[in-house]
Amino acid sequence: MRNIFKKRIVKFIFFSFGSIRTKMVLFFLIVALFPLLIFGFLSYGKSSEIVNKQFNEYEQFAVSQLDEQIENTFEQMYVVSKDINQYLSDPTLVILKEEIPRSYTEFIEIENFERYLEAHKTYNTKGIYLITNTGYYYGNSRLDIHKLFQKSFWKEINSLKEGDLWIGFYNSDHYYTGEKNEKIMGLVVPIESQFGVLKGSKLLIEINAEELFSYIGFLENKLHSSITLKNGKHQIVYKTKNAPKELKTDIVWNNHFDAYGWDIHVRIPQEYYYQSSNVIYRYTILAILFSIILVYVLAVVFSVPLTKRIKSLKSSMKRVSEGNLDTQIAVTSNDELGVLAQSFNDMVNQIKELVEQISTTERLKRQAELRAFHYQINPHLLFNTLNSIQWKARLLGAKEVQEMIYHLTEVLHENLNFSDELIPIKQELQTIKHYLKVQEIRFGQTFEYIEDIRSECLDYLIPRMTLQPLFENIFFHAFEDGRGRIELVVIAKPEHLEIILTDNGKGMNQETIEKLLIPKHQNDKGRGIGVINVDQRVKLHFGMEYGLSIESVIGVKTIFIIKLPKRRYVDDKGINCG
Amino acid sequence: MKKFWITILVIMLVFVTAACSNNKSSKSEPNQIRKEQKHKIVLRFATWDSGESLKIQKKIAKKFEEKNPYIKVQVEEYGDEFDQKLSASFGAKNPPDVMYMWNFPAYFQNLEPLDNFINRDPFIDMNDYYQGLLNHSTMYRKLYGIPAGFTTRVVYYNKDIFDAANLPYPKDGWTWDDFKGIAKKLTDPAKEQYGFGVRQEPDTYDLQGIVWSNGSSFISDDGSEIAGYMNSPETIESIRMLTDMIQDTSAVLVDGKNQQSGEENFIAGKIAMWESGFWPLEEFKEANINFGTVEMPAFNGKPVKGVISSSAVSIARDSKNKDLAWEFVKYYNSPEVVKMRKADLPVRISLVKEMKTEKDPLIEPFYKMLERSNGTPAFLLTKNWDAINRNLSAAINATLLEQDAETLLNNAVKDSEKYLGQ
Repeated sequence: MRNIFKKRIVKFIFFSFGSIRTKMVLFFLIVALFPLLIFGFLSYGKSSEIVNKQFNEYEQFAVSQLDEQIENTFEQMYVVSKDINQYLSDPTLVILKEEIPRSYTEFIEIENFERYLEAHKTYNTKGIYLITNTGYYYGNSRLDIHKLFQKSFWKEINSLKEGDLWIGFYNSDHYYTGEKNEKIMGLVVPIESQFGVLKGSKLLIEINAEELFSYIGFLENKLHSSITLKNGKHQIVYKTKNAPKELKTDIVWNNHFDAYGWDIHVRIPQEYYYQSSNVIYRYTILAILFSIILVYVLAVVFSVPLTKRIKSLKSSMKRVSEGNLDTQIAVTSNDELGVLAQSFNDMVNQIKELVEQISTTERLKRQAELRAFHYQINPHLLFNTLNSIQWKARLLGAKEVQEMIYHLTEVLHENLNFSDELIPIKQELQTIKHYLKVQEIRFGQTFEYIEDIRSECLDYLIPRMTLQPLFENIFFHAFEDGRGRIELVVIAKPEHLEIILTDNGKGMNQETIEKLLIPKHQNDKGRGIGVINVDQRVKLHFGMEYGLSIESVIGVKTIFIIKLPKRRYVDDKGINCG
Repeated sequence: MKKFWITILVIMLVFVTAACSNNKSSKSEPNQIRKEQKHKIVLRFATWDSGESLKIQKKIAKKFEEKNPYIKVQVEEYGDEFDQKLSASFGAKNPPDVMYMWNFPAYFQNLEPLDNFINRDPFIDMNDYYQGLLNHSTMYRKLYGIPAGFTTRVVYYNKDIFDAANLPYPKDGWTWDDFKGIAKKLTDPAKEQYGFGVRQEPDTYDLQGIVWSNGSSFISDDGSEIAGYMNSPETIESIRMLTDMIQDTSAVLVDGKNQQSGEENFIAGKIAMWESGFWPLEEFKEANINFGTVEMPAFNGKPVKGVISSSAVSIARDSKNKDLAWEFVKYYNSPEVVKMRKADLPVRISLVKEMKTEKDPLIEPFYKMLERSNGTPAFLLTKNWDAINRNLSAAINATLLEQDAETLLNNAVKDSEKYLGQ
């Protein structure tokens, strides 16, 4: 019963609340219930044991009192009847010549005999009578013998043999005076004397049974027992009215009076027998139920604010996980949960920043890829054609054309190679040489190119096609007809590498510089795609702190400065591969 | 949060109130009982009455309790076992505080003399009681009981039978000769109708009035002699008068064992006259018979004497609450209680006058007989009257069965003399 109840409560909690709350309720329950259950049932067990024992003894005492009462009454009547019987069996003591007295001596004798009978009366004796065969009786004159003879039990009396006795209960309505419905216990014995009027007469001894019935009433009313009395012939002499149905669980006492053949049968329904311990049991259960409710309420009350905050944290996390990075938790306190909320807010902000960065980078990368796609003209066709032209030129002896196409092919080779993104500076310089050759053939010896590069710098890695777009920019925008001077310096600073490209061309104003370096202006006229590309590729490869910067004085010079990390092909294979 | 506190509060309240109400219901009952047991003094009152009289006595006890809320009167119904139970309780030194009493010679040593209470109490006037009644509860000049009720003996007569025989109703001052004549005239054995009914085994106490009326007694006034009293010619004549009526069939024997009682015979119209006390009056009224009462007849030239059967209330010597018992005894004869006690004739002169009890023609003869009752019953004169009486009873019983009164009374005297002077 208790277990079922507990299960139900737990179920209820499970269904109605989150898991923290459940755990808290369970925790509270365990904390409250364990001692309560242990002490409750210990005290129940002990006290009910004591109470039951006491009640048992009390009950047994009450029943034994009834036993005793009945036996005493029997004994008393029996002793009196024996005594009178013995007295009557002595013919010298009693000379009842005539049944009904007529003479002075007979009156005296009968008076004396009746006094003898009266003398046997004790406190609760109702009457002692000697009733003759003809219906005459000796004893006080309160007895209405006709009513006595009408009583149902009297029929049995006539069949009583010598040595038999009859004991039973009946009402006192066979008396002229007094209460008519008093309970009486009567004993009838046949007189053993065979002399004269005494032959076949019976001795009737009546005892007021009110006290006995008050015992029975006490047992019936106070102890809820049902009582059955049976006489020697197994006839029911008394049975509790409205007795409850007999159950196997009833507590039963049986007693048999050997001397009189009577049986006492006392039966108490179990529920009454254990009534007092049931009360304890009920109160224990009540206390436990009450504490369960209390614990439940307390647990709910304490866990609601806590779990509410945890739940809001959880839902916020869920929203973040669904992509809503604008989620913020209101920080209401500075306990652990408050700190947690604060950290969560910080974390979300950082993630948001990072995601923004990554998305920008990704966008640029995509654009670059798209652009690269545009450039993907079938290189084989181009190179095959160029090679054919080169051979044609050589066959025709046009050495200049052949040379030009050779250098162009080299430049394009580099230009259209998407594989190796990072290359050593010396390789890029090789491409520049070819490029410059092409320009030289185009414009003639109109420009001056100065390279100031330490040999140890030649192995540092730069993105492919970093320098060539800048050279192209110089030739297309800074110089007119290819006239000018170009200076390329590579400086290895302690932290990084600087490639400085200076020209003495037209120069540009600040606005143009900004336009060149800010991506959104790039598609105005297609101008400067190369320059921005350089900057972005450096940034893509090495990070935002690296890149291209431009300084310029109009009409004097323009300086492109590329800031790069110091990386070597051999040292940093990993990056190459990546 | 508010909700929470409210719920807690409500739950607490529910439990507290539940606990409180529980306490109330479980504790209040025994408390009251305890109060009663603790603060109420229990006054035990033993009575031999049953039926209606007992109900009235219980009502009186209730009224007394109302007036004295600290007292509980416990009415103990001894009924027919009165003597048995009373002797037992005296023997156990645990007697009732107050009890009905008539047999003062047997019990007076266990009773509290009331003279001190009477002298101390300004509210009781003993002159208001009939002196003849007070004599009955006095032993050795000490009063042991306050009279509660009494009866004298009168003759009930069936007016219808008198009317049918065209006889005038008997009047006070009539003689036994008148009585015998009337009885003879009213007898018709064919109709099983007799003039008078004689008890087969009469109580010698009741016969004293007739013996006294004839100028004799069963015992000398000082209680020392019976010879010449119990067997005096006047006593013998008184008894013979009854046997004569039986012999000439103008009277019939009634009331024996296994016989109809005299009252039943009177109600059935089988006897025209019946000598008795106050007790059957109500029964006769209820039976709706047309009857009257008249004083006892006189012997020629001699004054009529009556015998009183009285009941008194006494206080046990071993009572622990004698003062309260005295209050109850006094209350038992207070006007309101006397008016309740319909089964008894009032014993206080002032109340008899006030209630005009004696003006009732059926009751008047009882008070007239009371005035004529100044003899002292034999049982008050000698300790051993019981033993003497057994012989006297046997003699009278045998006489009524057609044996010679003189011989038997002489026998009785002879057999009883040994009990005198002991």
